[in-house]
Parts: sequence; C-alpha cells; structure tokens
Amino acid sequence: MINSTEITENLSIPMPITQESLQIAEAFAQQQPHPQQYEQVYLNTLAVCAVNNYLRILDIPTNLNAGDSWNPAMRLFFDIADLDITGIGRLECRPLRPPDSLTDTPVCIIPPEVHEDRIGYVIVHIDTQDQQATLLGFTDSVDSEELPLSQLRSLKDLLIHLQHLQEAQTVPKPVQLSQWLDNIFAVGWEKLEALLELPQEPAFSFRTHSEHSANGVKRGKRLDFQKDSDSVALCIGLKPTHSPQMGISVEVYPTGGQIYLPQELQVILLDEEGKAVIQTETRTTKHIQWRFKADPGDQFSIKLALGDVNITEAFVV
Amino acid sequence: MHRDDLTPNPPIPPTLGNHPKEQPRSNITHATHTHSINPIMDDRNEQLRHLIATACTDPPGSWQRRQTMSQVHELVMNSGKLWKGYRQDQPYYKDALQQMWEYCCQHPEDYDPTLKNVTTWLDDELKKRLRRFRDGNRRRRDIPASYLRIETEAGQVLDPIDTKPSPPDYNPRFLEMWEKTEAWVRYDPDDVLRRTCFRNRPQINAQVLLLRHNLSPKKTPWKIIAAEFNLTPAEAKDLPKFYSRRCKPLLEQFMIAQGYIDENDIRKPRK
Repeated sequence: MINSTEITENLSIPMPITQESLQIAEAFAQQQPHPQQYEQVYLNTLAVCAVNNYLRILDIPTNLNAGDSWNPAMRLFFDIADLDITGIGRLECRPLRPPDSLTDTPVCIIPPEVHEDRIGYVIVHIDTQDQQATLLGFTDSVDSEELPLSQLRSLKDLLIHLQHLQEAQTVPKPVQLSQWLDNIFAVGWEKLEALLELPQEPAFSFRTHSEHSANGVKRGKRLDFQKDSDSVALCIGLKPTHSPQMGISVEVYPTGGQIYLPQELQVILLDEEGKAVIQTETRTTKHIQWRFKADPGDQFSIKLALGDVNITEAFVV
Repeated sequence: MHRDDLTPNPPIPPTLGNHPKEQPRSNITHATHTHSINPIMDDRNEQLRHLIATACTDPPGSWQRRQTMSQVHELVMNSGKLWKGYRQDQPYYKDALQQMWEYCCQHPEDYDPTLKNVTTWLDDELKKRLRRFRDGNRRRRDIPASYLRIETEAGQVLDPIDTKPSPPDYNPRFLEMWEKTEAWVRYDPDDVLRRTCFRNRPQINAQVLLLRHNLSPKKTPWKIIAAEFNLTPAEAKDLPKFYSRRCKPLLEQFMIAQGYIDENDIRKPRK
C-alpha cells in the first residue's frame, strides 16, 4: 500500500498559488449558479493555473484561452480542467480533493468526459490554507474514473512525453534541391570533403566525391544518433540530364573515419505520400548508394532509423 | 525574523578527488575561504552550480535545457531554503516567486559563479521582485488590496478588475444558461434524449444521464450512477463511454444551437 506522503516525497513539485491564480479561480467559480459547483470550478482552475505556471517557468508555451476550462459555458456543464500546450495538445490538470488523499488506496477522480482528447494528466494537490499547489505526478492515459496515485510518474517523465509528442509532430521543411544549382545551400548541408574523413584506401576515388562533377552538385549532412560513433553522412547529389528530369543520387557514409556504417541502420526512401520506395538495413555495410530520376517539383524524403531514433530529411526537386 | 541563507563566501571549488567535507585547512591560503559550516549545503551548492553550468551549454529553448532547469527548480523548492520574505511581503510573495523562477530558469547565463552561490542569486532576484511589488503598492496606497495589480515578468499588467464578475454572488447570464439547458433536457421536446438509450434499456437514456451527471450541481460520478441502475461491472465500464459518444454530443449540439459555445470549441476526440 502506497500512502500519499511517500508519493509526494519522491515525485512532487510545490508550486505557489499566486494572487493572479486566486483571482481567476474566484471569478470563474462565482459564475456558477449553484454553490456546490463553486468548489469544483475553483479547484479545477487553481490546478490549471498551477500547471500553467510550472510550464511557464520552463518556457513551454501554453494557450490558456484554448482550453475548455477557460470557456464559461463549458465550465457550467462539464467537469473539465484542461490546459492547451501550444502545438502539442491538451493536458488535463486534476485537483486532488483533500478527502481523496486520506483513503487507503488514494485515488484521483477523473471524469470520463476527459478520458479522450488528452495528451496526459497531471494530478495537483491543492492546499488552500497554505496557498500551495503540489504537482504530485503525471500519467499519459487513464481508463477508469479512479486513477490510483501509485500509477503516477514524475514530472520529469511529463517533459520527456511532451518532447516526444512535439518531435513526432514536427514536419521537416523540405530542402529545395533546385537552389543547389544556384549554389544556395541550407544550414547543415556541407561539401563532402569537409564532411567525410575519407579512409586510406587507394581504390577510393576522390573524384566521385567532388562537389561539382561535370555538371552536377553534391552535398552532405551529418546525422547523429544516440552514440557518437553512429553518426552518418547523408549525401544527396543532383545532376541535370538532357530531359527535364534530374538525376538524383542518395548516398550514406559513415563519419569519423569509420569504415562501416552502424549495424541495423535502416534507410528508407519515401515518395510524396510517405510510401516506402526503397528500403535497406545495414549489416556490415560500407556505404549505401541509390540513384533515381525525378521531375522538378517532385518531393521525396529519406528516413534513417537506428534504435529508438528516427531522422527524416525531406526534399523537393 | 528571516535571515539570508547562511552561506559562506564562495568556497573554493573542490579539486578532483577532494571531497568538500574534507577540505584540509592547512592547504588554504586563499583570503576569502572560510571553513564550511554546513557540508550538506556545500554539496547542494555544488550540485546547483553544476546544473546551471550544464544549462548554459544546453541549446536555448531545447528540451534538454528545460530538464536541467526543472531539476534546479525542484531541488531548490523542495529544500525550502529560499528567502521567505518579510511579513508585509506575504500578499504578493508567491507572485514574486513565480516571476523570479520564470526569469532565472530562462536566463541561467545571468548567474555568475564567481559572485555568489546559486541560492543567493535566486534569493537576490526574488528580493528584487518583492521590492518592486512593495514600491508599486506604496504608490497605490489608496487602492484596496483586493484590487492589487499584478505585473508579469514581461511587464504586462493584469488588471484583476477585468477578471472579477460584477456582483459577487449572483450572475444572471450563467443562471439563465443553466436554466434554459436544464429545461431543454427535462422537456426533451423532440424526444431525442429519451430515445438515445444504453443497450436497449429505456430507463438508461441520455435524458437521465445528462440530468444526473451534467445538470446536477454536484456531478454524480459514474460509479454511483451505475450502482443505481444495478449494472454489471462490464456494463458499468461501458456506461461512461456511451455517455461520451452518444449523450455528450447531444448536449454540445444544443449549446452550439443556443450560441453558448462555438462549433470550433468542440474538438473531435483524437486517439
């Protein structure tokens, strides 16, 4: 049996309840026509403010007005305490009512109207006497009306969760390959000589790696995975042909003087719709090389995956 | 009476392998070194310094930096060692504390380890903001405390008057919204609510559920509603889902039709 003090000592973060929060909570609560609703709205609002203040400290942008909890009509009929985290989703901030925490298996009541459309739940213990809101912990999903406090994870896990959600949503801006022919390169795309430490192999022809072969251009970008030794160079070459189509080469090399690419590295060429066109996984591989033709305006992306890390680079010809 | 955090002048950073608790005095010739009174505090100071230094190397705006600074925040807040303010500071103390943390967590490079300990830096920033509130209040002596103007870190002034409703215990607009909605649910003019039933059981319909759960001042938990209807555990588990998917949208549609909320206020559930 885990009692609530054990939980608070390991995971919790004390947040002061500011005058600002109290005034907002009072204002919202006073809109309720019935006194029984006053307490619920009051505590819900303090919980949202406490979590919002915590995120503000860490410079994580939020949008209070976007939440149902900031909508007076929604507050009237629904027991909600959501906080919109800009670009990520809605976090539910549930107040723990003092009686709940004194039971044998402390739980927090989470009404079903908030079981969906939430990226996670933070439980907040509100102490109106000391004017303190303690963030007890976080969970990413709930499946019943009662959430046992023992299931809560630390706020540190909340940050990791938010980071993953944000990164999953970030759509990379495609690299404009046509600009390369005009010598315009986005940050990170370097000349191959600078990027690759070429191993001492006499058969290795330097000319194939020069930036400007006859009439084309080639540049590479260093991509890092979890281990320093796993870094690779993704090299894209562009070569105009007689037809309107462009010749594209995709190469992946190890960096840092390594001879082989990291094992079990997956490299996938995806078309405009995100469908895999070519896919390969390294074993003891020195490099990967693909060539294809594309029309100006075509879009493709290259996804590299090693272990838990996925990197996608998008291109438009 | 509150006193400043009891820290000695900046201790010499321990050399490798030299635990702060065991600093030999005979080696010390530095004029500002004093024998540490509290080795535990030295450890914490070192830990905080290290964290701030790490934060400065973390890319600004990165999740890495947020994690690092959240550790600083957690350590300091859970230590209870921050300046607690004078008695007259108490009304705005927490607002000043919030402002201090917003500033310090976002400007770790402003901390100078050669000048003071991290806790002292935080205390000084806190005191600065407490002074600002104090001076601000002196200028507005005639305004009652309940109308305290809060200035955010960015200099934006929040006027609490904007957030206060006009008469404190009666707001006609919301009462009207409530009564109209309750009337609609009770009369159910188009029979829609009564016809939306849970598992073909006519007594468990949207009308009953909305009345018990949304239109009762103390929103009855589903556990209790399920017990009232003698539902099996499996049925009890499905009841809230039935509510969310079939009943709640009906209420929301009514609210949109009445203009209480906008269509855009309702977000489709994402899974």
